[in-house]
Amino acid sequence: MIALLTTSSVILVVFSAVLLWQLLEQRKIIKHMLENEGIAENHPESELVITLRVMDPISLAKRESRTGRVLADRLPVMTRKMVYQEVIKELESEMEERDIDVEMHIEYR
Amino acid sequence: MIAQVLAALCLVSTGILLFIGFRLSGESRKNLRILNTHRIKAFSAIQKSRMELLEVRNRAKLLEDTVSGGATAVEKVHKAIANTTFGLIDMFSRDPEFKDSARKVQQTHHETSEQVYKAVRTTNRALHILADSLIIGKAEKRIVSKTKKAP
Repeated sequence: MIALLTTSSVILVVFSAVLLWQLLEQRKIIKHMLENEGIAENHPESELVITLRVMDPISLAKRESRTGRVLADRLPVMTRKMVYQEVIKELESEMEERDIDVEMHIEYR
Repeated sequence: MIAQVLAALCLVSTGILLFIGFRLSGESRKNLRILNTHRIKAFSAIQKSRMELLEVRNRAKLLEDTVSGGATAVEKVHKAIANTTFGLIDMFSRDPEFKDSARKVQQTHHETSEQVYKAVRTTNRALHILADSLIIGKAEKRIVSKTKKAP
């Protein structure tokens, strides 16, 4: 019984050591990637942000505005951007009403 | 007794190794999050220039369509006015020679105006192609090279 316990413990130690070695290798790769991207080691702590995606901006523009109906098919990129700007404007006013300090900007993906 | 001590030592070592591993994995997760945020930011800049370029292309196409459509509309109005004028001449003139020469003038006028409007449309299309290949094409190449440089 003791022999079995000892053998299992040794196996566990070996397994943990291999796991740790793998984690160390992974850390090395990530550090290398951070260096390549030019990110300093003392990077500020990560923060949470909300991402918002309008599922069908073109049909929204067509539904909500007369200009949108005219422009949507001819200038879709501009229409999409205008829809997002309008959404930001509305959200900002809503947040202001509730006294919530927020920072919003459009990100391209 | 030795076996028991060895087993206990092994278990303690396993615990220590697992604890270090846990800390390491937490650190790696944090670094990966930073890396991901950075990549999203970098990709956003590339996508922004790509979308702006697409927008310029759309505007140029709209401008081309507007000029082309405008020229066609002006041509139609021009033809309608000319046809009315020549029709009135044809209706009220009693001299057959004058009528014949008026018809000839009408035909020449139509041919010339068609050629002029065709030239306007062709020049417009040529300008669009030129702008597309010179300005937009160059900007597109610049973006592609930027994307290739980005890791």
